[in-house]
Amino acid sequence: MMENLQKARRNGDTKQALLKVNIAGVELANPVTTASGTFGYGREYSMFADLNKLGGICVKGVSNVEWKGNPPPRVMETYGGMLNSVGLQNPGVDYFIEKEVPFLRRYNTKIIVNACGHSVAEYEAVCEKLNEADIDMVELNISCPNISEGGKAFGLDPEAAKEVVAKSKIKLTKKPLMVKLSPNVTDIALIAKTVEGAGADAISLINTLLGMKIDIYKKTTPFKNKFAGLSGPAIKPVALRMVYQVHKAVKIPILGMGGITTGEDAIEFMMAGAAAIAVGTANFRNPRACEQILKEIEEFMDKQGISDINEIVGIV
Amino acid sequence: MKKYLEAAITSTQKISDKIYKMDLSCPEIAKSSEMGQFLNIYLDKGEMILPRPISIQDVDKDKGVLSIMYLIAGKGTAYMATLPVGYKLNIAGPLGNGFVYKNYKKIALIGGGIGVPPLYCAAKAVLGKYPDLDVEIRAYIGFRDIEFVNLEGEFKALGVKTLLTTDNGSYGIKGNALEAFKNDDFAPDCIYTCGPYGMLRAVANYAMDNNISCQVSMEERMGCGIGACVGCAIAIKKGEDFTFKKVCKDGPVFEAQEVLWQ
Repeated sequence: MMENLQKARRNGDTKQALLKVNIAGVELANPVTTASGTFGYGREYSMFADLNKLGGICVKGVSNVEWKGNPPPRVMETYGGMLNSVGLQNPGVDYFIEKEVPFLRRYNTKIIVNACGHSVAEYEAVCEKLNEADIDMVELNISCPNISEGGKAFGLDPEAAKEVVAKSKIKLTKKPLMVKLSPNVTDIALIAKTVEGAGADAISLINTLLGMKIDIYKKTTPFKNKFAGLSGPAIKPVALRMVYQVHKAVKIPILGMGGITTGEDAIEFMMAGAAAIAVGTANFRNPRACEQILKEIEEFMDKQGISDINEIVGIV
Repeated sequence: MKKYLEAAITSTQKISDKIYKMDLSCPEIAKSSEMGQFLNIYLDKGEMILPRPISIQDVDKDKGVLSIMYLIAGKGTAYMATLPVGYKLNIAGPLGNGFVYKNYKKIALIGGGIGVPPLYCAAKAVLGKYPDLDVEIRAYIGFRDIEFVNLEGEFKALGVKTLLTTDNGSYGIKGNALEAFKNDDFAPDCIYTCGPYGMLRAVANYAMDNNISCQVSMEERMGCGIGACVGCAIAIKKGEDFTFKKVCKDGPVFEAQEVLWQ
């Protein structure tokens, strides 16, 4: 069987079928996507990597108007990870649709747009515009730990999450709605079930874990917001556990992420229940991380005789 | 064109306890590198996630060799200092915009500490590219202490008049680089400056007060180093307001008057 598979790969005819996954009606050529905020709008990475090899690109969060973001410093390395407090700086949805979408459309990959807001009305406004744009899916960001008014507040409170998801869903008549969950909750399954009930077509998780850094010489917290979002391999076991819990709790597909650095990491997430995965902080360590991870997934499938990646989703 | 490639270390040199030099063979990146740009050095240590952005100190385009000079500032740079000749690292570059030369006849380089190496790169590039223009370059380089002194001999070898200061007077003139510049009799068309924030702000203010064009190479903690993560934000004036730009992609070099100095 392995020989046949390898032969088929070499011929290139069945490769697509083997790796194809589907999230809420959006077919991805392979399960590897980028995590919002780590890949910009794709431009920078296009110089180092082939964007056509990505199943999808989830772009940096966009809001209805331009957001300035947080004052520096915004990033800091930790052991096996990093803290960020960028605060969703972005040029606004109109600029994004006009300038960035045409660029992304040059590539054979799906466009997932992370949408953020400070209030239900702002989420509605950005969703209304994205509904008409040439994009494939919206990822509702109700989990950014770095903005004080909104974002996290929606992701931490099931009632607030329900309202923002339901109202965004009304505006998104033409695009599937994925909701990105925060890990900074006591019961991830509860919030997952809540957003599923409110009309989410898919769930992505996890956003960053709330962390902190202290400068012991200055006796201060370097980040102006005191706390910042932790990402990278350091958080992988937590993310994996949460993907597993959510998969047991809901029926809608899951985009799993949190510290994925290797093909083996990606396979773990898929076995825990992720229909596809997103690569985040690993892009900083290696601008070609996504390609590398895809290659390692294929190698694993070859070695294990897996003919269709979907076979392993939620197998554990 | 920016590239991400493997580069072999061809030479290493300990300048002092705190400062090291590394030469990297990478013809494809060397050939397109300009003064004031930097490299991302990717470390093959699992716990170190972020690339180290390091200014290019020298480029030999014929040999395809890039030199970097770096300060041991933490675990990553300490690890770099242990790597032997022949070792291969992934690097990305050339990154950032770099200094711009606009027919200047007289250029003052005002540098502090580990901000000096990119200024050396600039001096060499301008003198090498425009040998017939008779550009006069003077370097004012300041260091905390003798332990941090770098590139004095190299500047002099280029024929650049060099005034060197240390904060504590352990070497050169006691004082700082900006004072050395003010005390010297030199009226440049442009200042290129790189170093700690306080020094840059002082140089920028002096240049603006005296109507001297001034290009400032800024520093901020970086994430990706290539313009995607928006980690290295710097406040840039925008009318009455400001906007955060990226040091790694929109910079590191900015005009002194566009920076919203804190």
